[in-house]
Amino acid sequence: MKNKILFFMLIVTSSLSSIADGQQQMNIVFVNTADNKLIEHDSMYQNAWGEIYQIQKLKYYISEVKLGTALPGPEIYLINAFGNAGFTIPASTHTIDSISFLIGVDSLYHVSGAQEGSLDPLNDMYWAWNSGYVTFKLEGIAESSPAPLHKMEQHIGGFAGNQKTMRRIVLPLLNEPATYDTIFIEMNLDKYWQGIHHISIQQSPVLTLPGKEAVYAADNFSGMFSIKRVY
Amino acid sequence: MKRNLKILILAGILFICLGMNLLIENASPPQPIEFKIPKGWPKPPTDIFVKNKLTEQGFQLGKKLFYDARLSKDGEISCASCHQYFAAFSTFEHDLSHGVNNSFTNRNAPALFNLAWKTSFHWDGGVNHIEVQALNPLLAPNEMGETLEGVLRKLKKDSSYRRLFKDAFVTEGISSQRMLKALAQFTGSLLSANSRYDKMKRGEIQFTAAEQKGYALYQLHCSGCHTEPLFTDESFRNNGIGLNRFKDVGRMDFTHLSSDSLKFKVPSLRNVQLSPPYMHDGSIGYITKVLEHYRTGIDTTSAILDPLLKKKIHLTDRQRDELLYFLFALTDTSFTKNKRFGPDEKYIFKH
Repeated sequence: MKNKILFFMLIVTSSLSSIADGQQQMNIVFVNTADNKLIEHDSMYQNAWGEIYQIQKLKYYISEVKLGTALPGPEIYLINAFGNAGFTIPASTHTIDSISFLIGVDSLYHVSGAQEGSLDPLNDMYWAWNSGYVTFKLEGIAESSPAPLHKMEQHIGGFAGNQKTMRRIVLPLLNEPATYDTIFIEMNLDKYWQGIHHISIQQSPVLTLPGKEAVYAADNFSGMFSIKRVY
Repeated sequence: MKRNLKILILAGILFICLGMNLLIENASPPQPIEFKIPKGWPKPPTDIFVKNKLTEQGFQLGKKLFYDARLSKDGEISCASCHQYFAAFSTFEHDLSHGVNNSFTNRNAPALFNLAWKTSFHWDGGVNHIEVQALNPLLAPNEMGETLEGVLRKLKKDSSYRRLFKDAFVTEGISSQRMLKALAQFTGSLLSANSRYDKMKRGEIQFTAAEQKGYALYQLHCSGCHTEPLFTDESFRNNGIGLNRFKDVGRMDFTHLSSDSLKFKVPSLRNVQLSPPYMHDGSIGYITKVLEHYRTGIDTTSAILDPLLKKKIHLTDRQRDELLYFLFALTDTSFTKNKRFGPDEKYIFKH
């Protein structure tokens, strides 16, 4: 397991740009895990409630990324566990004591009409009938799901008022000069099921609406992210 | 002689090349159009053309997209199939509209005009911006039934679209954002503000005695929801239609609040004469029957009925007819006959 993750990290790092001449850059890589395993197609995972599931889709928005006291960048990234799971941002050479980011995107983007890039509705993260972006999307199958074909769909979205599903995450880094150029952040799906709130596939196999349940699920985001390592 | 001919041919080729070059460079930049707000109307809540600059080329591209049935899965249904210009962009004489594969919608296609003033779209208000509205009919399995990828693939294959997108947005490229913005330039431009009512307001004509009396009755009984000059206050209300066969609870589907049960967007009364049948499900076929609904058809004891309708509306038959005359004075035929909004070529409506 450990070797596998290390190997994965090496591949990802080599595909991202390293320190460019004159300008310091930081690679941010999301390592998506569940059940102490990397998330992969066709693998089986088990959550805290003993429910075994497969993952077919796992995507989420990351925005307002901020290193230490720097200003957050305007870029919005769509992290895809089966695709692009990292990005590169400018970094200062000063001590970076933390990294913070928003899961999801600012409400302004939800109400401003047709967008492009990572927010293009082509990315399948947009609700057309109930305008707004999905913050976090997980799809798969689970034996315990009572939904047709044992489908499991967790489309967590909602941006207005008390339906907000965007969550700010702050992760502390060692308070010393950054000699590294890559931060690996683990997204641990186990904490999605067993976080502040308990979510079971049997009880909530399909969650595709903004509202109380989506807000509960979003509350669990805070426990899902941690610094895996810097490199 | 032979050499001269060669030079002549070369010169000719050079001349053609230069000419083509000039033609390309002369491709005119998008021509801005001003969206004029009629005198006496409020400013739109948000200016939909701030981030989507209204241009002639953008408008024309949007219009072509609007009338193009190829955008649908089976190539049979366009936006214009359900939003017919002669019916003020509603579906003429259809309670429900037809989608691909002989499917039916489960709500009545709303008329389209003065969309720049809307604060939300659809009968349940689930859509918050004009640009993203079009995603719904394009992707709904009982409307145009396509995928966004499918629509864009078809557009990218078509050289005339490739040219029109470049004309409208300066650089090459067809994207979902550009397509949606172009469509919004067309639909957002559909302005209807030239009915007899508007002419009366501008002092160009006088109402007939019946219209004048009808206007007073409208102000007394209808203006609480259908406020001037847009003739809708954009709110969601339960007007006593009740739960239909689709179990359509309207706004509640979107907000999940039981207090929103059976609430639907108040439609504009403008061009009401041209857009039968009526109500969110098209369940009332004639305008006279709509008035009858408000006069005698509502169960005023219903707990969830809109408060404004709890008091019975009393209208004599004569008053009902006067009100009708006023409603007819909201018909804007210069809008429905406006060649700028109608199809460029003969358009065959299949349903």
